[in-house]
Amino acid sequence: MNKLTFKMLFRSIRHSVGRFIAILAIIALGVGFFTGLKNSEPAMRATANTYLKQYNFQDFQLASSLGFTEEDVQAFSAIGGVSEAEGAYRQDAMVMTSFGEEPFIIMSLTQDISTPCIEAGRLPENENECAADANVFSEADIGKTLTVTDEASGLGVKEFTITGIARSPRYLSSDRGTVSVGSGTASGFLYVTEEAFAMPAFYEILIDADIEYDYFSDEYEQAAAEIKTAVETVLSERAGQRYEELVEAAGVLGSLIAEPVTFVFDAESNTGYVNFKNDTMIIDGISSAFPVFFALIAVLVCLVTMSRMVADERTQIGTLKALGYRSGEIAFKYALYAFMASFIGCLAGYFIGTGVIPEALWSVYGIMYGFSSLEFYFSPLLFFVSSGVAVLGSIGVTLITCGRELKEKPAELMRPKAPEKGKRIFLENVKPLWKRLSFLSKATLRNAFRYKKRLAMMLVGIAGCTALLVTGLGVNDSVTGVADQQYGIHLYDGAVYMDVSGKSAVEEVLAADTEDYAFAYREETGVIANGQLKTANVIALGAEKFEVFFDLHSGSEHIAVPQEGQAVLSEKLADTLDVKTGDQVQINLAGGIVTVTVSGICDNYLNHYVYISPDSVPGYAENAAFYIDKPGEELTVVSALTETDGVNYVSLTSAERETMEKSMSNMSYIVVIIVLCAAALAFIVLYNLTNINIMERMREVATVKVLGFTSKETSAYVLRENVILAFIGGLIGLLCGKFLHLYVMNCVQTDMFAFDIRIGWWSYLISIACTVLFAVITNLFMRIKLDKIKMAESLKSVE
Amino acid sequence: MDTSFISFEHVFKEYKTGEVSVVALKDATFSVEKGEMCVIVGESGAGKTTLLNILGGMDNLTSGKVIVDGEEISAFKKRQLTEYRRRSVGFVFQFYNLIPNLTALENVEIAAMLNKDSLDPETVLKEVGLGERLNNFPAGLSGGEQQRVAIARAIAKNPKLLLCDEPTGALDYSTGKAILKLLQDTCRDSGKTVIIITHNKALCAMADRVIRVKSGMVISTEVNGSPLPIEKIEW
Repeated sequence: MNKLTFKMLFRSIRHSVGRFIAILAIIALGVGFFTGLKNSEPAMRATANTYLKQYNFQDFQLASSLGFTEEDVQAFSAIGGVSEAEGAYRQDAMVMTSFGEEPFIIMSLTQDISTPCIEAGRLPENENECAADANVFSEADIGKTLTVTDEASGLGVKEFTITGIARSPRYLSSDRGTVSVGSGTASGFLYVTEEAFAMPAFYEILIDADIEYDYFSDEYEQAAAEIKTAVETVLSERAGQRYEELVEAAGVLGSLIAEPVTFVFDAESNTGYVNFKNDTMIIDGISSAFPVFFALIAVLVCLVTMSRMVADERTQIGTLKALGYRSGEIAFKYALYAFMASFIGCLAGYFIGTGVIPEALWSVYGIMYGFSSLEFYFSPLLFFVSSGVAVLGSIGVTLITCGRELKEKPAELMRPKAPEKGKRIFLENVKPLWKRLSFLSKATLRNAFRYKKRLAMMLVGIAGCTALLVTGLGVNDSVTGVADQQYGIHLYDGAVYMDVSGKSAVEEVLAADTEDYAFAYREETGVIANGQLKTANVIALGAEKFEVFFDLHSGSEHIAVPQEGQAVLSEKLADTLDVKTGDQVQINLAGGIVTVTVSGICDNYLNHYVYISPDSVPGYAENAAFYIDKPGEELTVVSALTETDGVNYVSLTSAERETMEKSMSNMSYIVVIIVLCAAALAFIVLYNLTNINIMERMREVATVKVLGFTSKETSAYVLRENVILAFIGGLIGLLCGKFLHLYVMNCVQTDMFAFDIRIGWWSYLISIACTVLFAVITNLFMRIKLDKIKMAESLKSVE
Repeated sequence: MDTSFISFEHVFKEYKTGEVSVVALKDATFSVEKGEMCVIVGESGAGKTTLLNILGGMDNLTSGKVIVDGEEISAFKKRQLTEYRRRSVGFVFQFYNLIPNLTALENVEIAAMLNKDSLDPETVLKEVGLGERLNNFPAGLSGGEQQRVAIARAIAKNPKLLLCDEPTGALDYSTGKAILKLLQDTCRDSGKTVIIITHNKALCAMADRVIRVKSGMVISTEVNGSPLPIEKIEW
C-alpha cells in the first residue's frame, strides 16, 4: 500500500479503459435506473405536498342541499382539530369565450383555504373581474371579457374581465369534473369575488384541519379520518337545524322543502388528489421489481471482468509474490480498482438517475398535472443503501476472484496458464447433425460452449435484457388494452343518476334522443362478506335489457344475468372479499340488508360492481338509466338531461374513457424508459463480453489472420457465436420475461384499476428480434476492433 | 537480383511507440532463389522476426521494396496482403499457435479450405507422421506432435513459400531435429522455398543459403553449395 500501488493502479486503468468503463457503466446503469425510479414517487409526492400546503388545500369540503350560513361556518371552526372553516360559493354556468360557449365552474375567491395560484396577472378585486383557469386560458387572454349565457341564478354579475390566469389546488389534475349544465363535463373554472354571487347561503364550506402530516401519507389519512367523524356529527346537527329554521320561515310552504342531503368530502374524494396518488403509486410499484435483476447482472459482469483482469496480470502477481508481497497487499490494488469503478459508477448513476428519470416522468405526467416544477428529492437512505450494495458487491466479487489466483504458488503464476483443453460438446454426439455442419460452424459451436463463465454471463445478460423488453412491452399491452376491455363490458354510452321522481322527465328525453335506454336501480354502498366490507356500485337492471348495456364475462366465458337472490361481482371485489361462486354476500341497500348468492365473477378493470336482479331490491324504484346514443345526438341528449329536473348527474363513457386512456398513456413512457435501459444493458453486456472474448483469444485471432482469413471470415469465426448465444439467451429471456411481467403487474396494482395481465405474441417477437439485433450491431463494432489486431504483435513469444 | 524468387531491397522498418522510435531493420537487402532452404541467423533482437513478418505479409515496411515471385508485396494493400498470405505463404511459429478447440485434422482443414488447390489434410497429416493422431486436440499432443500439425497446416495450403520462425525453439534436441528433417524433406521433395529463422548457428550447415542479421542489418549472404542433411549435424 504505497505510492507505487497507486501508480500501478492508474496505469492499469489507463491501459484498459474499456474494462474500467464497463464496470463503471453497468453499475451506473443499475444504480441509476433503480434510484431514479425509486426516487420518482417521493419526489412527485413531495412536490405535490409542497404545492398543496402552500395553497392550503382543504382537508374537508362540505356540501348541503340547503346551503350554509355564517353561523354554520363558526360552528365548524369551533370543532376540536379544525383550525379554520370558510364558506364559499359555486355556480355552474355556460360561459361564452372566444372559442365558443362552454360549461364552467364559477367559484368564489377564498381568503385562506384552497387559495388559487396566480400564474400571470392578478386576482380579481371587484365583482366584474375574474381569474381564469390556466388549463384553458393563457396570459394573452388577460383583459378579455367572459359572458355567462345561461340563467345562472346564483350569480348577480354576468360579465367578467379576466385579470389573471390561475391554477387551483382543488384541481391538481386536468380533470375538472362534472357540472350540471351543458355537456356535463366542465371545461374549466373561474374565480370571482364573493360580491359577484347572489346566493342566500354558502354553497359549500371548506375546512382546514390542524394536521401537519404530509398529504398522501397514511398518517395524514388517519388524522383526517379521526376529525371527519366530529365534522359529520356537527354537519347533520347544523343541517337539521337549518332545515327547521327554513321550514318555520316558509310557513305553509314549509312542506315543500325537502329534507337536507349532506356530504363530507375528504381529500380522497378530490379527483385530482386521488388520481395523483394512484398515478405515483404505480411508479413505485415498478421500481421494486428491477433492482434484483440488475444487481445479478452487475455482479456477473464484475465477476467476469475482474477475473479477466486478474488472469491478464498473472505474471505480475506472481512476480510480486515472489518478491515477498503478501496476498492482502496484492489484492488491495484490485479491490481499489473495483472500488473506484463502482464508486464513480454509483455517484454518476445516482445523480444522473435521480436527476433525469423523475424529471422525465414528471414532464410526461405534466400533460395531466404540471402544476409546478419538480422538486429535487434526495433520500440519503436510498443513496447509501444502493451505493453500499453496489460497491461492496463489486469489491466482494473482486476479492473472490483474486483469492483464487493468489492461492497459487508464485512459480505457477509466472508460468503461462495452460491453454484450455479443447472439449467436445454435447452436440457432437448427435452424429448425423454434427457431420453435416460446416467446420466453421463446428468451431463456432465449440467456442460458444467452451468458456463456462462467459457462457453463463452471456446467457444471463441476454436473457435479462430480453426479459426486460418483454416486461416493458407486456406492461404496455396489459395497460393500454384496458380501456377497450372495460368498455366491452360496459356497453352504454351514458348513465344518468336521478331522483326517483325525475323518471318520467328523463324518460321523455331518452325516448326522443337515444337509440335505446333502460331504467335501473343504482346505489353506491357496502358489500360485506367474510367479515370484510367494501364499497361498490350496486346495479339492479331488468333481464330483458340487461345484455344490451352490460356484457358480463370471465375470459371468454359468458356469465348469465343474475336472477333473484343472485349477484355477479366484479373480479377485484370478489378477490378482496375472498368470495367465489356459490358463496353468499350481504349488500347494505337503502331498503335493507340483502343476502345474495354469488352466481358469477366477471372481469372488470375500473372500480367495483355488483350486478343484481331488480327482484332482489327491497322497495325497488328506478333512480338510474343507461342509454345508447343515436349517432349525432350525443350532445343533445346530455344538454337535455342536465337541464331536466331531478337529474343529479350524467356520466359519459367517452369522457371517462378519455381520462382512463390519458392515465394509461403515461405508462407508455415508463415503458420507453424500461426499453432504453434494457437496450443499454444489452450493449454493455455484449460489448464487455465480446471484448473479453477477443482479448482471451487474441493469439487465435492473429493466427487465423495469418492463415489468410479475410476480414469477414475472421469476424465470422469469432463473432458468429454471439448471435447464436444471443438467440438462445433471448429464448430463455422470453420465459423469464413472462414471470417478471407478472411480478411487475402485481406491484403496480391500485385499488381502482385492475389491469388485463397479458402479453401479445408480437411483444415476444419484437423482444427477441431486438436482442438479436443488438448482438448483430455489437458485432459490427467489434469487427472494427478485430481488424485492428496486429498479427505480428499478438504472436510474439509467450508472455 | 531481379530474377530472384524473393528480393529484399533496402528495407527499413521503424516502430514508433509514443516518442520512442525503434529501428528494427536498417537497409536490409538480400535475395533468395526458388526452392532454396534458406536459414536466417542472428542474435535475439537482431531483426530476424521483423524480416519474416514483412516477408509473410503480416507487417509493412517503412521504406524499401520486397518482391516475391515477381510481385511487389511491399506495395500491397490490406486486401491484397490477405490474399498473398492465403495463397502464397505457409507460416510455422515457435509456439505452434494451433487452434485449441479444433482437432489436429480440423486444424489442418481450416487452412486447407482456404484454397482450391490445397492438399488433402488427412494425407498431409499422415505424411508428417500423425496418421494416428487425427482426432486429438492440441492439448492432447506433445510439443513435437503439435509442431508437426502446424507444419502440416502450413503445407496443406500448398503455398509457394514456407516461413518458419524458430520452429524448434520450444522443443527438445531430438524432437527439434526431427522437425528440421521434416522441413528439409519438404523442401527437397516439393520444391517449395523454405525460410527458417534461428539463433542457432549450427543450423547454417543444412541451408542452401545463409543470411546473417545483426542489429537490424543484413551483414552477409552466403550460398552453401553442399548443404548437409540434418542427421549429420550435431550441436
